[in-house]
Amino acid sequence: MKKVIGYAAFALTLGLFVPAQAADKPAPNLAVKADAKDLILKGDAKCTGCHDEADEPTGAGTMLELNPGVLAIGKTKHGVKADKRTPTCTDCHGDSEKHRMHKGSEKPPAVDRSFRKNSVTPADARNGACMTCHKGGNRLQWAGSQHESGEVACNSCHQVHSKKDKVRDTATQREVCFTCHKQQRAESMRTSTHPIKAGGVACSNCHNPHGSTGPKLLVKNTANETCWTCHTEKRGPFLWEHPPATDDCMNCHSPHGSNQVSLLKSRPPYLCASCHIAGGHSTTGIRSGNDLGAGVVPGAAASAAPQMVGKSCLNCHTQVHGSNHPAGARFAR
Amino acid sequence: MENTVENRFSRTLLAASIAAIGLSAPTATWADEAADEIRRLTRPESEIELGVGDVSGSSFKFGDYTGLNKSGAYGIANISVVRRNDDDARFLEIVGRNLGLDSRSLRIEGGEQGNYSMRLGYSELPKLHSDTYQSPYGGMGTSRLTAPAGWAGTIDITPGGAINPPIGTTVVTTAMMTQLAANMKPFEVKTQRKDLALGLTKLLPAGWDVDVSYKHSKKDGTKLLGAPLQIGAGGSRGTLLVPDPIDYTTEDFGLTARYVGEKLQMQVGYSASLFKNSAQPLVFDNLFYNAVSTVGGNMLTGRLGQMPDNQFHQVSAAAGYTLSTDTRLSGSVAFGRMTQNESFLPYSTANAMPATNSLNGKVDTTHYDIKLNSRLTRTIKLTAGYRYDDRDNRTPVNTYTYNTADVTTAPGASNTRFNTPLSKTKEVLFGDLDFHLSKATTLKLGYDYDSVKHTYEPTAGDKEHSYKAEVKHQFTAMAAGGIGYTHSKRDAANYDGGGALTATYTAAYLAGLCVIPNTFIYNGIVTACTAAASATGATTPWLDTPSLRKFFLTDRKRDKLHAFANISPADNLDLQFGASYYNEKYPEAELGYGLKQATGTTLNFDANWKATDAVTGTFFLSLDDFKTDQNAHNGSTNNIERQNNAAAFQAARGGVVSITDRSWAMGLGFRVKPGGKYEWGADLTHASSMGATRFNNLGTAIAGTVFPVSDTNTRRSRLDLFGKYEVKKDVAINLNYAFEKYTSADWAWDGQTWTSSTSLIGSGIINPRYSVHMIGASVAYKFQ
Repeated sequence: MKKVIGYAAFALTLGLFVPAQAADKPAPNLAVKADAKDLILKGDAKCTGCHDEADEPTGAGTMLELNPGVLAIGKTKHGVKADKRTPTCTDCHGDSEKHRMHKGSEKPPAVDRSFRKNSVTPADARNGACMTCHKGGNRLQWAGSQHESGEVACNSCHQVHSKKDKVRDTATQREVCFTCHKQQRAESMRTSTHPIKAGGVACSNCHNPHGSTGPKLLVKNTANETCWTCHTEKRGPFLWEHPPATDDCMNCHSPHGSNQVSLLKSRPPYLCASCHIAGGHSTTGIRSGNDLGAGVVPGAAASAAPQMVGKSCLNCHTQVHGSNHPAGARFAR
Repeated sequence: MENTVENRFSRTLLAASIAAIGLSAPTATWADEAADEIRRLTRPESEIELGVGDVSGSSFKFGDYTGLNKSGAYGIANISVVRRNDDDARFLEIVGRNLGLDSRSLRIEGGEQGNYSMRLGYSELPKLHSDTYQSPYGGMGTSRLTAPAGWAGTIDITPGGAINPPIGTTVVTTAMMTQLAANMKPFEVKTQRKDLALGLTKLLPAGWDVDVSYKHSKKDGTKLLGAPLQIGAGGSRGTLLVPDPIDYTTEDFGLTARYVGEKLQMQVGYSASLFKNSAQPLVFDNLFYNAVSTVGGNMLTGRLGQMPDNQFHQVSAAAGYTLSTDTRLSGSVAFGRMTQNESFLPYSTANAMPATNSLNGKVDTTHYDIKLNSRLTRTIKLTAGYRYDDRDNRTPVNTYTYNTADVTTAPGASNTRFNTPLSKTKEVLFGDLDFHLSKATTLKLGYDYDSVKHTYEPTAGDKEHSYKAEVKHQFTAMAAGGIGYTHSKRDAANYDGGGALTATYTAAYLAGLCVIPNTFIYNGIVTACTAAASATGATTPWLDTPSLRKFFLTDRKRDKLHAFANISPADNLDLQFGASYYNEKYPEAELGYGLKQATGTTLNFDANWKATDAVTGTFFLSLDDFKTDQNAHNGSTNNIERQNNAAAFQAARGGVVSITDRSWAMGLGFRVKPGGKYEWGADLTHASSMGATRFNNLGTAIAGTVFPVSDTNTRRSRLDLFGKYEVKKDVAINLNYAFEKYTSADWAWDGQTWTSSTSLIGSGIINPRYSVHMIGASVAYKFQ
């Protein structure tokens, strides 16, 4: 009996040991398996034969491990096999025969079209793959646009093998844009801003990074038309127009953020005094501490001047974007 | 013997069976796990997160745009559902964020990929203006603001004494409002925007698709406006900030048909935007009321106009054609029309109407552009194009004789004005050449030509030439940098500083501003002055300082320099450096008045460090310094002295206002993701600003009256800590903590009381300052 138990114990141990061996990763042989099946896309077996679930990033840093992994493409629109337009791996990465047919354990040659961080594939070659399908629509003006001529690749901003493409989500889009646009990041941290950090407005609400017919990649033909998509009450036309507002909202406003109230580039009264120093009280173009009142500045005028404190000129001249009131010639109605 | 063989066979058989079980059972489990793993990695996943958070303090500034302005608990509710069928292309996506807050958003999209999709989006956005504002009015939040009961009787206009001259000429001041402080009431000034958007896209055969969209935007609440009244002779006005009701609705419609072919892509579309303002004009009682005033001030109410309803319709078409693998041509056209024909209000609360009932406002917009992009050789690429934008304002010009700020006395000659429907045409010609000097070096040379034409402006237009050059170089696989320079020069056509404003008045009024026997040109006609001859009287009617130059119209020289460097000293460390500088000069304003120089410097530094596979850190620092100098004056009442500033800065009454705007921002963060059940991290951010206003080169006549102002500043610091723990495979607990502190100082509000100004009733607004703690705990459930 003891011997039976001994044999059984040995056999069980053997049985346990063999699957454990099977669960250990084999020594890397980077040749694709002959019997590999498509995992996600039609014809992807020639790639997923190697780039399978064992490849997904775990933090263990194995040789085959890619970061990011590739299989997450299945979670996205690019992974929908039933859509006849969906490309397979080689449609984007090229046929890559040398990479696919590589045998042995040393690192294989790169794919024909690599989208990795330090890729040597030129930006326009990478973009050509994407533009095979994604031309027209928002990308109609891509050729010759600021990003295209700056050799920005589609994958500089977009993540295709990721369940979530950060730049296409209003909550995370700004992080992608701020990777390059540091000045705008700094401005978005100022005291007066659009709701960029709160996720209420994304960069793409005003800009089309793929190219546009307007200046500075704006979504509309002019700056004012872009602003008026949300600020429709300022469109007019008005009976009494305020020339700097009608000309260009950017004459007075800094849309990415400002240290002045209402996203202004400079503060009243000085902003206003840069154009108005003519009649009445505007002949006093150098408002100073004297206008804050003796209660705040010793020796100053007895009364604080409404042209200086509070909203300054806008304490009276409120309709600075234009007025439709017959008595609004001076924007006080 | 037989027994021994049988026993031995039995033992062998038993051992083999047990081994077979040991071989087969784990193998079958491993295959299921592998299939599950592949499904988990390749199928879309969804997540629902529910929890509760708490904010320790109330502050509009803290809660601006987020809705976290009230202390206390709030619901955490986020949802992300992504479903894609295995067998067909049907899909459904639902993303809901901040569903427990006034900044909630929900987006739903579904359909059949490659065939059609429908989308619905809903979002809310709170804009919190002030939680410290006060006024004595009743009815705040409505279109009728009423003075406290018996208010007029509490205004002390008793003649004589310390504050009051004789009855009849008294201009009521805030000091005379004996019950002002007692009647101050707080009111939260805020607006809420709610948007609902619907859309449908349908793919059609042969490369076509069509998209239809509709958006309904509603914004209501209040925002602060000044409510001035004429309360005495000349420029005597009393005013205060009041909550103006906002009730805006905008409806946007869009219809686009698109074609995508191998070489040709194009689209045609129509869009309409309809704005409607349902708020009634704001009527407010006169808090500076003086029943016996003979020079204004005895009107009972004032009335502010609202933003008028308007519409914008536009048709557009765009196309791009790939002439060859190296050359592409693209362009677009768009024609639009803005209209506005809201009925006018009367000139004043006395209800006299203008001759015309409404504006009949009409602006036609035209845009077209064309662009060529071509690879001329293997190493040279050209982009060249032309853009045309025209705003043709066809609004009729009429005469309006108005009461200033609801004054009851009859309008004077200076109150008859013509409206000026502004038109503008802008043409831009541009060309860029990109050279690949080597595999590592690119050079860009560019030229832009802008031409602008205006109507009703001091200048008929301007032309600007810009030249740019930029070099980028890849030093090694780990280091790259670049530098760029742009020079622009804008020249305005003949600039007549006083002309534009003068043309809005009548010839008769202008003639009365200058003395016999002088003449002036009015609309091309020689017109005689009519004021009595005088040695110090004006020889020409002037209304704008002739030597004033408006910065957006006048001559300008601009230089911009920028540089960057990206270095990866190690595989796990990326460093980015950036700097820029610009200098703008306005030569004619340097001689006369207006903005004469603006400079700006920015510096940026970023570091991204992957310490281990589990630990990453980031750091950034930004420094900005902007400065403007403008020539200004505290003018005199001497007409000759003022009008003779035709070409020069008047030193005795002049000075330079220099404004510095300096900010710095930094961020430090790290993430720990060891790959197990938990991850955590922290972010620390800080942003500061300083605004300094200085007065230099003050003239002898004014130096004694110009006092310094203190610097303004803002400081915001925030610490975020977060952690995530995976209780089970699909269930995680999220914990968040944030602390944010904000301080600010601004001389426009600091130290101002209800009566600091005799003619501006104080609002009680305090510069924002808060320290807020926020904690949140939620459970997130993932499913496929």
